[in-house]
Amino acid sequence: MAIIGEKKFSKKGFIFSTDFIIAFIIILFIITSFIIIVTNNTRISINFEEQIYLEGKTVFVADSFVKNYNENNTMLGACVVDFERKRVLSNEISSENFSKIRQLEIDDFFVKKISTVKNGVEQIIFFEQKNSEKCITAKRFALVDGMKKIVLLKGCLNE
Amino acid sequence: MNRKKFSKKGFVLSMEACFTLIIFFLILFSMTFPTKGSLRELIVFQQENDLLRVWSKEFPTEEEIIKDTEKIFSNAVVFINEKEILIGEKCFGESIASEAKIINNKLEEKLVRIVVYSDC
Repeated sequence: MAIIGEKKFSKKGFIFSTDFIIAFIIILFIITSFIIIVTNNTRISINFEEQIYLEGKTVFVADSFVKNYNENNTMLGACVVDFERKRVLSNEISSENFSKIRQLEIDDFFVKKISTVKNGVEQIIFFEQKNSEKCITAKRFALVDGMKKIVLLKGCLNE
Repeated sequence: MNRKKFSKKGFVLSMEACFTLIIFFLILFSMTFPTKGSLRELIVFQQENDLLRVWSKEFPTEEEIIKDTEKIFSNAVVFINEKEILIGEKCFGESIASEAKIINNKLEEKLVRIVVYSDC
């Protein structure tokens, strides 16, 4: 027989104290808050990861375009090659290489547009019709046929 | 409560409730929020390198250096043989700098340094 306060309890049963109920409600609140915060953080992390992936791919393809030479696909290198000295002249692009630009697709990533800008006038070298709202543009500086120009490369993710 | 008499009004918090509240706040403050990474530093470094490489081939004048830098960066400081030229606003936050010695056909040297500030 249990005595709680002035009451006597002689049968088996369930006793609920007020502070136990308060503690139980607080625990439920903690668990709910935890689930909401973790779900939100996961969603934010996924968005950040996607953004970093797109930024990385665009930056590296743009760097390759202005620094290297690739005879199969000049999107990965459009620079002039000094065959005498057997070296690539970085940041010196030849417009003759633009005819060998082929589309580049790596998993979900593709190049949407490559253009050059001089004195505010944009000249498009390559353009892809595919639409996407997840795009980012890399801005570089190079000599194109001996003239100083800004090179813009726009990379996008498939939707 | 355990045969004790409480004659005054007050607030009673049991030990379990106290522990629960402490654990709740510990969990809340231990939550880390995702931080956004960025390749901004790499991008700035690459752009600075582009400018220095082009200048090493062209050997431009001071005006051309300023004009080229303005096309790429909105806030930077260019040092030409230790002479400071401000482009945009000068900030005191984090900066990324690149330097190169440019030599022309007449073997004249120019020490060019670009300092780009972030988050003005």
